[in-house]
Amino acid sequence: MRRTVVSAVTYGLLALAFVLGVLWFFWPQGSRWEPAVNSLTLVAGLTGIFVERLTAEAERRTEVLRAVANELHENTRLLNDERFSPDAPTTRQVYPRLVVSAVDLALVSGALGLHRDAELVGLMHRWRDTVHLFNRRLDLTEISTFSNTISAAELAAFHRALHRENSYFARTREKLQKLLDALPPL
Amino acid sequence: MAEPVPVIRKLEHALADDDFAWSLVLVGEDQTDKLATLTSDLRGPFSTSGDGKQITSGFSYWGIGPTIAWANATNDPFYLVMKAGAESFLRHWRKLRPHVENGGFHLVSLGVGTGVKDRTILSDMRRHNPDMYYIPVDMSSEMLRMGTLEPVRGARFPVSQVLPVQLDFSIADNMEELGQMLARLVDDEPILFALTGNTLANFESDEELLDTLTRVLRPQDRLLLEVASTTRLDQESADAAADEYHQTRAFAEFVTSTLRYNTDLKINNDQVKFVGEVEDEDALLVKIFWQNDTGEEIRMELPDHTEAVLPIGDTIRLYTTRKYSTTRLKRLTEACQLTPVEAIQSQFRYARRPNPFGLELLLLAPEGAGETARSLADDIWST
Repeated sequence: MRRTVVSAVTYGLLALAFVLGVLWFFWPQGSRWEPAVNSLTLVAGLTGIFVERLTAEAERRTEVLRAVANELHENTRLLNDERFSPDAPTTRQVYPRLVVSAVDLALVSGALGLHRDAELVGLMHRWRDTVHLFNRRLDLTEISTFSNTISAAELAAFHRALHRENSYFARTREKLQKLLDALPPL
Repeated sequence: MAEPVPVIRKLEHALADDDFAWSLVLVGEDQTDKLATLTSDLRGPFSTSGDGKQITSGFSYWGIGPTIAWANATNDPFYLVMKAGAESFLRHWRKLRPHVENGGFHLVSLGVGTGVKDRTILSDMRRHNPDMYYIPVDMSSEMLRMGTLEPVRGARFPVSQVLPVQLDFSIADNMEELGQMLARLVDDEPILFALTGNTLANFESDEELLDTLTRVLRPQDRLLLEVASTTRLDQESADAAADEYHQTRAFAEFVTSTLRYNTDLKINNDQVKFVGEVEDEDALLVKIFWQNDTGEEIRMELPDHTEAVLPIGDTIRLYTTRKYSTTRLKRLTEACQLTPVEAIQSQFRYARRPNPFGLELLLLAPEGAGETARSLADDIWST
């Protein structure tokens, strides 16, 4: 909104300076044309600096959010991987890990607004914790399932535990969807 | 005219502040029946492998002679398994007790033993439920008197909240009657049944006993089960398990005490055999039996003053015990429809070499109690 107002003012001032310049060309006898055109151009130049700065910030924010959205879609794909499927065979396997590099970058970039994106930043912090704990659980699952003494029943127990309705896996999925819903349209 | 006051109501006041060593026992069975059972068991068929004549579990502790022999065996510093068992119980119990500390549980101890483990349980549980009852159940009144001393004197558990019951809990009808009496006594309040000290392993059919106990469990009740465990199942381990009991003289005195006390048989400790074998490929079975290796027939006088003939090579089973594998325990609990709420296992550490033997303490709930078995996987993936 702020960027729109400042842009409108800048382009308005430039347009007015142009019109005055044209009038000055046809009626050069007027002694006040010059300071009017110069002043309008000077003010438009000053507001133009703000327009440029605001546009750069908006573009950076859009880029960061686009990277986060891409990463979240990639995580959705990973959670839908056949190794996480309830129909997957109950054998020991190495699971894919969720990624949070774009979210990490977004949080430290300063591209997200302090007030405007406060809720989104909070959700990203919680998502980051969730991913770390989810990946840690995958580490523990692999360490346990790849031990020599594990039985088929225990492997099945891991499969069951992963796909319980209230498991950490289901909670991670919910949090991912919540964050995707909270992302502004780009 | 005033109604007569039942003596049991007046008894509490009558015994209060009386420093004479009274002890109160509720007797559930005619003791002559027990003597008849013991006599009949000693008249069993000829067997060279300890499967004919026998002294069934419970009778090993029946009477003052076996009770004293048991007390001596438990105090024997060479009986390492007993010492290690007492220590591991404390560690295991600390991990299990959060499940039963709250909720107002009463304790029913099946096979009271020395009372040391009951003392540990009672001192922890009473802190949260000062009004709890302690009901030790044993076939031997002498064991009941000796075993309840430890919690009452050692942990200062109030005598007025102790009700020792003399009953053979391996008989299904007895257990059913006990269950009904307990339900009337405590209403809907939960009961923790404790079968510690590897008592389950002493019965000819452990599954039958566990099933008998499970039948009296209400959904709110829990069963604390302590068993000896093994991680190896081969003849070498079975022999090692037998040797474990062979090592102490006091234990040999204990296992032969029922025979000495109830018959006129002259027993030489060399005639007592400790034989280990793998049972059903999921447990180690140790049979301790006396064998007639004198080279001549022996006539033994029984408690009813009749005689039993012991031909050459004949045996009398004195004691049965087992060491359970995880598979066997799972099979037993599943067959009896019990759900493990928690199970803690640890190996013995007194030997120099790695020891396959240890103890396992399980807290079991009847099926339908709403408890589900929690595995490592559940712990990792729960929220």
